[in-house]
Amino acid sequence: MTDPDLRDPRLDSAYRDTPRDEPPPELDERIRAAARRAVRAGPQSLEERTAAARGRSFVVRWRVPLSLAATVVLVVSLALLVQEAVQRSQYDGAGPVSAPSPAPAVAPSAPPAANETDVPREAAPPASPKPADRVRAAPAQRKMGEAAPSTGTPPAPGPIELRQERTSGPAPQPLGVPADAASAPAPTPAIPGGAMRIAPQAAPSPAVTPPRGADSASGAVAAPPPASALPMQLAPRPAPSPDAAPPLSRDRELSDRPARAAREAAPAAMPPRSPEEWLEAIRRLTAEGRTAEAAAELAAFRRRYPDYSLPPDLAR
Amino acid sequence: MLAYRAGDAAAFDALYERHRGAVFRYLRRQAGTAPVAEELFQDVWLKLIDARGRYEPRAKFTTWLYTIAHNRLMDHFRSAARAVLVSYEDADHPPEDLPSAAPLPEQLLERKQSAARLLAAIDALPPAQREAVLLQQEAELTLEEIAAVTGANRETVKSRLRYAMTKLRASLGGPAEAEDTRLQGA
Repeated sequence: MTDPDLRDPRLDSAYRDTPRDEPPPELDERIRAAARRAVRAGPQSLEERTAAARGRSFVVRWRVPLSLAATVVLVVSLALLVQEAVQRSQYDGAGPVSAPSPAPAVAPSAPPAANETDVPREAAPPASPKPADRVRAAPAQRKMGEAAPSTGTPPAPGPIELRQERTSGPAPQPLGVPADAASAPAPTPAIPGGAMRIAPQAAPSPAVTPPRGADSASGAVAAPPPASALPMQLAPRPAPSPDAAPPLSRDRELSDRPARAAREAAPAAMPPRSPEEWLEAIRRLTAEGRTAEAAAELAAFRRRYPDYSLPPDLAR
Repeated sequence: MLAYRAGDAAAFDALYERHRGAVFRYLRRQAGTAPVAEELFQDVWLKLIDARGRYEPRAKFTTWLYTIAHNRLMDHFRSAARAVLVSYEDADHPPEDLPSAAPLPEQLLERKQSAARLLAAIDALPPAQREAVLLQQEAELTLEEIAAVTGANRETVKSRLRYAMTKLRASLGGPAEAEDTRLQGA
């Protein structure tokens, strides 16, 4: 402000000579009184204001870091979920066992057979599936339970596929399904619409309903979890044990006794196994000179896994 | 102000005593009439009292005080356009009311007349230039502080002051020079 164009001593002097207007005394007193009142009432409101200002400053100070932290947590969670989903889909899609189509799509084409409704229940894997498998099996189970009474829908395609395998001869059961399940004589008379009669038994009932895990795994009309959804259960699953069977009604239990006995007598030489294990067993048979058995196993393997590319030593 | 914020009422009295005249004149010479200036003056100080908890000594207290006054004045201008420019002669202390009747030395009389012409010239300035002059003369703010109070940049304030000074000097130059200036302006 030392610029002579902006500051003129003569002008400053003339301005100092202008009347020094002042506020009236009563206005002064009003303002001073207001200031004193504010101070008297002030400590509390002042503290509140200070606290509010402090709170605001805390929010302002931590707003950006907290937002960033929340974003990072969200992104990491999403990344983990996506990674898990991708792994699962890859696992499902590349699994050696082809996944069955959804139950409602195949159900109408399957022939209704009363005794076959027993098959899935008996053939259902006794071991409880993984929770995720239970979740996946539950919708199919519900669909079947709803569809059975109205259309006499036979079991889901999973069991159908198993039946087809079982009728293919002495081939091993890669899915761990006892071979005698279908061939065992069912004492229950074949009643048309048997599936409709049995379906309600699978419905939850306080007296006979098995635990949820067992229920989802062995319901009468529930499709077992898709084979592709159980890739890890193929190999290590032990032979079905009667203890793991779901609790049934008295009648069902009696009628299932022969089948169960046959199942218990089923050769333990047909445990569920993965294609690799199966091929390894074939190699062992070949190495032991049991070529006929090896050829039979290989033929069964080819029927079971037609798309599986055999290793060169077995392809010959 | 920090002492008053902490609850010291006497600190406010000291502050008020130091700034009351300058703030009042700043408002009085822009608002036009004394009643309006008094109303604005009271509002400014009450606003300051109310905002004491938020006061942070980031700038000079004077700058903060005149920022409040400037904002209140702008609100006043917005709500009631200043339709009639009341000349200083119509105000409470017109030059002819000065104690010129008393036996005064001729030099003192000349100074009073010069002051009256200066106030008339200030009143005739465009509002932005007038405000810059008043902030310079009454609050003794620097260019930067005037810019901060008015929300303008430094060069704009400088330009306003330069134009204002030219006109005010002309008003002090004498009746002939003032007449020339008026003719040039016309």
